[in-house]
This record gives sequence, structure tokens and C-alpha cells, in this order.
Amino acid sequence: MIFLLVTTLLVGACTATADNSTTTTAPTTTTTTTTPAVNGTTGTTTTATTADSTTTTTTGPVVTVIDIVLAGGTVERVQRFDIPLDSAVRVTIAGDVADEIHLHGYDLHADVTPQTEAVLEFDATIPGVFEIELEGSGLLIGELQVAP
Amino acid sequence: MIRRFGFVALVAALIAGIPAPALAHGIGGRADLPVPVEFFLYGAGVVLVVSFIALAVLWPEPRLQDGPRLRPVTSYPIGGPARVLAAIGLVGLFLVAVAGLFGVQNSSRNVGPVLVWVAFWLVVPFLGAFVGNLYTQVNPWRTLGSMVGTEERPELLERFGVYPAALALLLFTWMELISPDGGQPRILAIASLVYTAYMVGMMVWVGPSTGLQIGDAFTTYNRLLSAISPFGRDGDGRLVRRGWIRALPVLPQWRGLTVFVVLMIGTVSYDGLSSTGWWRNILGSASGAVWAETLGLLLVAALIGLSYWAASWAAAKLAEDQRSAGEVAASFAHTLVPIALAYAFAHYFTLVLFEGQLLLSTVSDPFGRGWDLFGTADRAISYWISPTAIWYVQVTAIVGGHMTAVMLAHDRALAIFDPVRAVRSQYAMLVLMVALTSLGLTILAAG
Repeated sequence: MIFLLVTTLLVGACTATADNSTTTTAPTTTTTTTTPAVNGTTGTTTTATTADSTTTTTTGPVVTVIDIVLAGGTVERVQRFDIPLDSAVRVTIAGDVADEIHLHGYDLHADVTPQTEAVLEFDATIPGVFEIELEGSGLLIGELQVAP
Repeated sequence: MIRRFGFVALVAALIAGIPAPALAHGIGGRADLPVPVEFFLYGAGVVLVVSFIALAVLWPEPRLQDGPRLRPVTSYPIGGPARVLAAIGLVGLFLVAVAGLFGVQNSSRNVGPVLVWVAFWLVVPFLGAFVGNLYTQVNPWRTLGSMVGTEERPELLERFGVYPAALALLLFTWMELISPDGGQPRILAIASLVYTAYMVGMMVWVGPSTGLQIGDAFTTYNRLLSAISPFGRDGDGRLVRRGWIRALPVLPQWRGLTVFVVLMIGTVSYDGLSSTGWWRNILGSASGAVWAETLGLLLVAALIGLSYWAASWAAAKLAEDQRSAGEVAASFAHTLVPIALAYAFAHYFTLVLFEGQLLLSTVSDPFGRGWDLFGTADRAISYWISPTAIWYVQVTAIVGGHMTAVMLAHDRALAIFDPVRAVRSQYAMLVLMVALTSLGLTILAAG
């Protein structure tokens, strides 16, 4: 009954904002981790990675996108997300609870409700392992590992 | 008294309305990156090589058992700095209580949590291991105890040993690592007041000096770690120089010392283990639940204690000695102190360097009310050490602790066992120490 769906997407920032019609190709890395666990069944993990061409110039920083979905006010398994140092990060947390999200170390806060997602956007400039906590219930719902 | 402390802490926790699942850590929420495999292998390799060389070349006669030669640094008692430290200790206790009860309830904006979890619990003992025991002077309960006139009852130290202190240490580390509210300024304030009542009661009952030795976790904790330091004070209060680690072999073997040292190592090991994915997978859905984590802490400490007991038993057998495993364990307990320091240092030195900076901002605004007494209230934490430097320090600390422990154990074995068989007895302790060091490295690598 408690299930967890986590999707991690690492995409080049410019794919969303920059002009894609130019000859400059953005570095694109896509990693999708989906863990639909239904009553004890373990989830599946698919990983697709596309490396960029070494000759191209980069038009923007890498953006790491992390989505965490809470069910029953928690996650089934606390996951650790890898984040390249100095990349731009966007963490969204959707769920069926009203609580405050706290990303330790970076000390960022955002509110989540059943209607609205919590969104944390920041540059990953501090290396280390950082906890994402539900401030009200005190639950650990994920960890960010920022490494060079 | 101890029971009352536990009970009140429990009641305080229940009043605060804590849900079962919990996030650990007294303060912080940032952890070091896992040590990469090449650092791990380098550390483990050095440990193995050093251990085998140690067996072959270490001295054949005991050298460290007579106690240090003391060379005076000052010709007068160092009363001035001692009084300053005592004042700092009292002010600190006062701040933890007042800021915790009346200040903002935020662990990084109230001065209480950083005073307790960084300054008191890490900075004082770590500094003590290098420059000599600061806690003797800082200890606010000792300062309060100087007003207690009760006659000392040292015979009760014989009877209770440091078991009450060990229990207090366990409760304190439980608050740090497992209690969901270890970072709550109000809970810390209540705990500090309860502990003060407990310590005063203890000192009134058995005398100030005996009370601190029996009941105060931090007196024994700091005494053990600062025995590593090359500085001490002589009977007249003068600052003296001695060799590194020379004070360790001559520490009194209080009852319960073995348990105390095992707890020092066990609690830090648990802290490392409990943040790994491996541990969370084992606990499954119970992960984060207070009862499961508490059980885990006790289990880790028990396993380390059991391994130490087994090594002591094997050492006595190999040396064909009549001593019981418990006696051998007590006799070698001091040799584990460098490992305990290494574990704690590798694990927490970045907490001191990074979260310790919160002292600057919170001292300037201790209650989180928007004050700025020293102009440092808005200072942000600077993460100025690179991960690579952190890994070097961590692995070096673990390896250094191991080498020191092996040396101390070798020397003690020569002193208490039949000299011909003493080296053989070393195999048992060596296996234990290699195992503990590997555990320490593995925890660092598993992150």
C-alpha cells in the first residue's frame, strides 16, 4: 500500500531554455530510476545514459532533477541521489501530506501539501551527504550525495 | 539517580509528542562523503603491514608501564586559566538552559545545540587529547561541587566503579544519535538541568570528587582521551610535560572501565553504520523507528564488547595465563582508547570545523531573537576543506589510532604475561584491533 515512485532525471539545462537549433550540442545525460513497489514487490530500475560529444561547447550548467513522491506521508525506502558538485539542482517533492521539507546543510525549506509540490532549487556547491527531512514528522525521505 | 535521569528524559520526550520514526543526529544533517575505495585500500594495507612489522620488531621489554616522567612547564600552579575555563563552563551551562527554555526552537539558530553537541561533546575532548584535560576545569558540575561539603566516600567508587557514568554516557549518546529531539533546544535545556540535579545529588551523596568519578560520564570520557596528551598537571597544579600516551597505561582500572571504553567505540560505530544504506535495508520498514535504532545501538555495542571479551579470553589462553577474560579485558581497556579517539575524530572532526562555525553566529544571537552582540550573527558556514583532504585526515586518524593501540597492547602484554608467551598472546589482540580498524574504515567507505 505504501509505494514509492522516484524519478531522477539528469538533463542538460539548455535543452529547456537555450536555443536548440544552433550547432552547439548540450551535454545530455538522462538517468531514469523508477521504483514502483507494490506490496513487497521490489521495483525495477532502468538507466539510460547518453554521453555528450567531447568537441561541443557547453551552453549551460547541468541541471539535476529529482522527484520524490510521498505515499502515506513517507517513502518506502530512503534513497541516496548522486549530484555532481556545482550543478544546478531542482528537487520536487509531491505527496499526500502537509508538512515542511528541510534540506539540511544547504538549509532550505519548502512546504508540501496534497495539492502543491514542494520545490527546492539551488546550486550544489557544498560537497557531502545531506538529509532531506519532513520537519513535522521528523522522517528522513531522501539523501543527496554531492560529490566532485 | 541515573534511573531518574532516564525516566525524566523519557517523560520529556513523551510530552513533546514524538512520533515513532525519527531522524537521528543531535545537530547537523550534513555527513562526509564516503571514503573512496583507493583510500580504503591504502588504509587497510598500511594497517596490515604495520601490524605484522609490529609483531616482529617491537621492543622485548615493557617500556610504558612505569608511568610518565613529568617535566614541569610552569613553576607555579596554573590557577588563572583554570578559573577562566571554569567560568566559561558555568556560562555555557547557563546559556544552554536559558536559551533552550526561552530562545527560538531551531537547532542552528539557538546557541544550545551547538554548545552541547559541538563545543562540549567534541571540541573539549578533542582538544584535551592534544593539550591536556580541559574538562577538569570547564566542568560546571565540578565548579558547583566545590560548594558541596560532603566528606568523600571513596569506598563507594570501589563498589560502583564507573558503571553509573557508563550508563549516563549511553543515555547521552542515545540523545545524540537516536532521539528525534536531540537537536531541540528545549529538550537539551531540560536534559542539562536534569543532569545538573543528578550530578549535584551524586556529589552531595558521596562527596564531590567521588561523585564526579562515579557518576559523571564526561569526567571519565575526558580523562581517558586526555591521557593521550603530552601535557598534564601535577599534584600542585603546575603544568607538566610527559610523553604522548604515557598516562594511558597508568590510568586507574576502575570497575566498569571496560564497559565504558567499549561504549565509546560502540556508539560511534553505530552512528556510522546507521547512516549506511546497508543498515537501512536490514531494518527495512523499522528503519528510523526509535525502538529499532535503540536496539541497534545496544546490539552494535554488545557485539564490540563480545569481540573484545573473546580476544581477551584468547590472549589469556595463548599466554597460558590464569587470569580470567574479564581481568585481561580490564587490564587492556586503556589500549582501546586511541581507537576510540580515532573513531570519534574521523567521524566528527568535520562537524567541529563546519557546524562548529555556528558558534560564531549563535553566540552573537544566543536566543535567535535577532540580536547581534558581536557582529557575527549573520555569518554563514564556510565549507572550506575539500573532500580529499577530509578523506586523508579520516584514514590517517584510523590508521594512527590502530598503530598506537597495537603498541600499547604489546607493552601491556609484556608486563602482565610470561615474557616468553606474551608475544603469542598478542595475536588475539592484534586480530581484534585489525578487525576494529577494518570496521572503522569500512564504515567510512560505506558512508
